[in-house]
Amino acid sequence: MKLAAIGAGVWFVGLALTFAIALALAGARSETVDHVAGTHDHAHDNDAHDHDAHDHDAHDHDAHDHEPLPLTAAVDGSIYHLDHTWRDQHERSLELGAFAGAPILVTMFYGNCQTACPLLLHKARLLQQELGGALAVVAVTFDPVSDTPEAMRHYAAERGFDSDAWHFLMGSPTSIRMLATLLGVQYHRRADGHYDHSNLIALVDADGVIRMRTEGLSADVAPIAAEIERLDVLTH
Amino acid sequence: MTHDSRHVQRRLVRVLVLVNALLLTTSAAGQGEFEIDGMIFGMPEARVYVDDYDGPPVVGDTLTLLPNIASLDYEGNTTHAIRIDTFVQEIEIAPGVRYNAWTYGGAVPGPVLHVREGDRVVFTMRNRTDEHVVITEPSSASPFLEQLATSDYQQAETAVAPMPHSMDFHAGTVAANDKWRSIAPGETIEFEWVANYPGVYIYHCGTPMVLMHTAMGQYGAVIVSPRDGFPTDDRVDREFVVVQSDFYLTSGGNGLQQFDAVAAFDKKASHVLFNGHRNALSDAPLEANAGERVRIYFLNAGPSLTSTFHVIGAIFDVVYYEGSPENVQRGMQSVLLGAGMGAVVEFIVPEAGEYYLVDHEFADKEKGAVGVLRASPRTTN
Amino acid sequence: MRHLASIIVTIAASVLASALAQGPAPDAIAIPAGNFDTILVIDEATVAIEAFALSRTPVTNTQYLAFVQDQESWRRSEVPSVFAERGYLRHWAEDLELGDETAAAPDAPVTNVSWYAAASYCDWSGGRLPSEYEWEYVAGAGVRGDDARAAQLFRWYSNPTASLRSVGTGEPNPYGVHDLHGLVLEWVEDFETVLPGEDEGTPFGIACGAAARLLAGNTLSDQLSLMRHIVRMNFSANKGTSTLGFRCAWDVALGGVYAEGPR
Repeated sequence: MKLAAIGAGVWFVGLALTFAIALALAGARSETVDHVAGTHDHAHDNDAHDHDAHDHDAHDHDAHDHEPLPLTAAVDGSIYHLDHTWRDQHERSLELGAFAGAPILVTMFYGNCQTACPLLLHKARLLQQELGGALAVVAVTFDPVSDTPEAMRHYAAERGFDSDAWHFLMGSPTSIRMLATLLGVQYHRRADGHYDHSNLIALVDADGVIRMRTEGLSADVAPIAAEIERLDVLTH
Repeated sequence: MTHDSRHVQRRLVRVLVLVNALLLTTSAAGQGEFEIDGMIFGMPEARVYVDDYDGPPVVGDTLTLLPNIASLDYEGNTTHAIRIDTFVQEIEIAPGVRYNAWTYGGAVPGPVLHVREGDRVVFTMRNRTDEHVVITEPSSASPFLEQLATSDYQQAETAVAPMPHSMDFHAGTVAANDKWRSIAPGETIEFEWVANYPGVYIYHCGTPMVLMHTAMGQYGAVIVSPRDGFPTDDRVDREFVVVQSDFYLTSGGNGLQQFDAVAAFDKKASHVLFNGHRNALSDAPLEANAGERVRIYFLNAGPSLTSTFHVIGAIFDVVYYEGSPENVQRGMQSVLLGAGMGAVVEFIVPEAGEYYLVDHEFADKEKGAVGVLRASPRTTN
Repeated sequence: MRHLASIIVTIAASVLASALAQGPAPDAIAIPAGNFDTILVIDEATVAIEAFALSRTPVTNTQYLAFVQDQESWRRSEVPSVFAERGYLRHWAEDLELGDETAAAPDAPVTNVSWYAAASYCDWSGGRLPSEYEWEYVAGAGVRGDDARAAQLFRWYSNPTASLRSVGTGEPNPYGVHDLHGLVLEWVEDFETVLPGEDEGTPFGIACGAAARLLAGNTLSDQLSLMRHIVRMNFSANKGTSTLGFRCAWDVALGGVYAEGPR
């Protein structure tokens, strides 16, 4: 009886220790990801930013308004500082900042990709479902020439990505490269029009800060979903 | 208590003990770490981050300036938290020959690290190649900086040449794509490794073009002393560290030498030196007395040339090849070492006089690979 | 006197701002289409380069000043760290004042700019950064295969701060482009891309010499290109250095109003 009690006590301590280590490691991992967002104290006045949506090709030389920042852009490490304009599969114009306010999954692909991209989008869908189904997925194409809004509507319909939660975005080559660089996605357009590319799904929080990145095509999303839940990003 | 419930209890205890053991093993070793033959593998992932660190570039109790080696004043194993930053420094390697070296810690070769087999090293390195870093002010952050303040034989001046760099510790057993990865100027990398084997090891930059990075000066020595020491430890009277390296420099037109790529690819060194200066071991010769047993931890850092290390007038009583107590060679006149190889050599000083340390490949010697040990008469102790 | 100089520079920059905002630098060089034998064979041994225009020189401090005068969010005290870390334009005296440092001379190449800053400048100019192929294609003229010249450039790479000066001095290359070598390293559009073939490819690390297997040839100038590639791909997009600048490219057909350099 006594031995069992001691055994149970030690067992509990061991369990607690393992949880503590697991939590610490989860914290350390998100830290590694977070370094992109920056851990420093810029002393600049964020409120002086002008974040009106401006068309990048028309250069407006009027004096800028000094409006208070939207919540997202106040965060130094937010990808929503990228204020370029994109088109979605429904031909709507939008900035990435439109997704602020709730966490989203972001990924990059192209329509003519035969093997990797379908697997990647499938992984994104599994992850979305594992996390409750309401999480928006923003899928940005490398190939805005072939992947027109109409082509993207067909692509989405064929594969069942046509709920309101799926956003297929097309942008200028510079916009695509800048977003890819922010996310840490490498890609290279080949002579035959195909792309060599890395496979990434990023979890971006309500402020636009990348909180987790998962690379590769494995459909085993349960551990990733568990890690996301541990990061406690979804409820903010 | 009934017989059945006692049986169940025993079962429960066994299960709990098993689970407990499992948890304690995993929690003690850290997630991912595992042990084989008493050696520890499975280090955590390296961390890369940005900070403003502008403190001493070399931090750690067992980091010394050549030819010194720090004593390990502790029993068993410990964890060394050390920093060796990488940055540029204008240095002299021979009278009238100065160049903007790519360095670890501001010297070429870099600081000597001494640890014991089984020790853990938690290593931090900031890439400060886009800023001026002063190393000549005395600092207690490491014996290296303390020693450099009084023995600045490379006459160091600050310089800037922003480049990505990395660190490869041959003494560490890790995945190179993670731990030896390159970082940009301004970034810091942090990782850990366990010294699983004794030896005299090189560390060097692994960023391509590696020939250029190492030829520019990014290398140094790690001495991993065996867990139970060498059989001859009690008889050694003097210990020194000597690192040989080859340089490929040509006149740069601005008073400084610069990297000679053609010579480097052809292995035609302009200088082959001990401890980074033609006169390092003659302006400040090694000292001993006749009858003493001298131990030299010798590393041929390369980058490209071999070394046939010999002490004129002496024979190596014992050579622990690559610094392992299991690799014993006796009565060697010379030790042949490829680029990036080391050895522990010991010799008895026969009589008072001058003993020349040389690379017996004489083309190398003529380019500077020579030093002096000065022996005084025998003391009766 | 200093104040007068800075006023003049500011006016000049504002004028330049309106001019530049409209399109390519007036002295951009038209580069005709051609084939480029890739130095790093990632998937193609030869790639077709379409005609494009390339800045004659790297972007100068004055030109960059015009950009930040127009685009407040790219000023040193305003820019978010995700786009440009501390160190951005650290050689300037103020947000909108170049100051006295040698590196901040009006016609010196602008340095301490992140990749995002460079890409945004070119975007604002109606163009883009050149791709790595385009850059190496133009930069190879007169250098590729010349091992003596490559040796000279290796010396510069080992000691790059020895020669900061104004852009456009010295001999142009066979295309009429200046300062591709020996002044500053330059950002390219696709600076961090090395991938094996196939769209399933995942990026692989290049540690300790493993990159050399990608080289088509083994001349000194090929090694130099490889080194440039490795250096660039190991930079961080939100950090510049004191020896890293950039120039812009424009998608234009030949026959435009741009300068055509010597062939």
